[in-house]
Amino acid sequence: MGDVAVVEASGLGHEYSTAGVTTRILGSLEFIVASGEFVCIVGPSGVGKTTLLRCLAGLLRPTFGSITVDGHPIARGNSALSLVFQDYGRSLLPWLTVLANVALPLKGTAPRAERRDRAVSALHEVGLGDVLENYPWQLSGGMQQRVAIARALVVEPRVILMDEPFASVDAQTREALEDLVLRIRNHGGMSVVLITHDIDEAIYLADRVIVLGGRPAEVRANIPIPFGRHREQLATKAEPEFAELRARVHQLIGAPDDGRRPAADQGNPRDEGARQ
Amino acid sequence: MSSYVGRLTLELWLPVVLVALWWFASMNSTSAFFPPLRRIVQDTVDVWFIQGHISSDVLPSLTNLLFGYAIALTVGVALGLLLGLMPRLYDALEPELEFLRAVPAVAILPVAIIAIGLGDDMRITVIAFGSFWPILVNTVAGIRSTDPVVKDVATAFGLRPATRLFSVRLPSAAPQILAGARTALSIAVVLILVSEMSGAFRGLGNFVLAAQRNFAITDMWSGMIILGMLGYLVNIIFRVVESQILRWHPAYREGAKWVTSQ
Ligand SMILES: Nc1ncnc2c1ncn2[C@@H]1O[C@H](COP(=O)(O)OP(=O)(O)O)[C@@H](O)[C@H]1O
Ligand SMILES: [Mg+2]
Repeated sequence: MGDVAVVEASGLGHEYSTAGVTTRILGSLEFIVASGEFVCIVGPSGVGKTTLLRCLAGLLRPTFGSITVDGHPIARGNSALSLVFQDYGRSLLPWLTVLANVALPLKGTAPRAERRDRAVSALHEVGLGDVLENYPWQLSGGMQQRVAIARALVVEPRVILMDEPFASVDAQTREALEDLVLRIRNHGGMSVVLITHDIDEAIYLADRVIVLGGRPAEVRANIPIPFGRHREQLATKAEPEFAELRARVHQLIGAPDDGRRPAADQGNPRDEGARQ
Repeated sequence: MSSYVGRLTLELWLPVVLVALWWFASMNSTSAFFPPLRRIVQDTVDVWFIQGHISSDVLPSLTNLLFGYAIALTVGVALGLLLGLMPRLYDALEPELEFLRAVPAVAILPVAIIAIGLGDDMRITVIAFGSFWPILVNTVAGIRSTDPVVKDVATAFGLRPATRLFSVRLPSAAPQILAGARTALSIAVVLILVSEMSGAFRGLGNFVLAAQRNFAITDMWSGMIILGMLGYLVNIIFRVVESQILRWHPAYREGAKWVTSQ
């Protein structure tokens, strides 16, 4: 793996304005994602993880700072980045077959036969070579999320972004999907940025865990994970270091942050009242 | 198979009961306005199938219906797409559109006659005008209500405008568009009659109206039966087409097989 930065965020900040009230959600984030690196972003619910990912995906224009991919400013529909949504039930198009869903991002960029070939091979990569002509809603939740992963793969992205991709599948399916994503990264060499609120999942998957906290959210910690490329559900999680890392991340996320909320104090008095 | 028979029974029991009631209640009727159903049925067979009014009167009306409806569908969906994708334009035009929509199709008949004349193109225009509105309004609503996650997918993957339109927005609006198209079809069938109120010398509507004017009451009833049957028939055809287009939709998924491995 090279150390070349693929994604570079500098001074990245975002605020939402609703009904005249402006709330700064993301402070001023600085981070990079190296080529081939697997980065997990963790943080408490509501801290701004989805907001951050939407900025990275080009779905949201950040209020402050910049994001570059391979040195270029981020653009909508940039095929260097692709996205796996949390809600597979809504992100796959029910009127298209599995194959058509996966081939969709290629429409208008490649001839029909090539689109089909690439979609078929992406589906084989996620182990779904035999349900091409089915509709996504005919599949189980885990299989649907595989379709979404295949759709992200088909554009041969430099980075795959995932927002809590396994939050709504059962534990067993979840482990299978985690290993699938690791295998895909090891095989394809793309970077992965995965958001989760599950600390174990983050440590198991990542080369580096970024912990977000506070309002506005800042990078609390940047923790390298020293388990190398080869991971196994039972063995890796049984490493003594795994427990140490878990405790550390736990503490960072759970750390009381009272007295460190300047924006909330001045920005949203109702918020303040609710907490007392 | 048995569920098919069951559904047919469910759909047909009430009409059968009503027809039977009509049949027996009117059996000895001497009223000029409510002749016995038996006579109406005989007359229907005689006039429409033996004398051949099916081809001389139903066919021209049906042609007008199809042209008018096709125009309403094409223009309604195209304009609906445009206005659905441009909410500001729609909001700006809404008062005018609401006004036009409130004008009953019968009321534009005189205007259409003055502007277009008494020919079939006037009748096609009236049918098209009346059935256009539900299609337009439903298309706009359908396009506007696309799931934001689906829109995000289109944006995140940088889909081309044409792909966005024909693979994403249009199919996602299809259930609502088709609901509007179905309402429009019923309206269009009624407008066969309305559009033939003036200047028509043939057609199903003209036949019914002329029969009524000439006190040929049995003929009038037979024409209404044919009109009802025509409406029912086009509705069945519509349902078949709709269930094909929407076979992915939760309401039509029964019978699809699920993949249960993993
Ligand atoms: N479109 C929006 N407008 C206003 N506030 C929003 C919007 N989206 C999210 N927020 C607020 O921003 C904060 C962070 O949301 P989000 O990024 O979804 O957090 P996370 O994914 O970490 O749970 C939340 O307090 C949420 O209420
Ligand atoms: Mg979130």
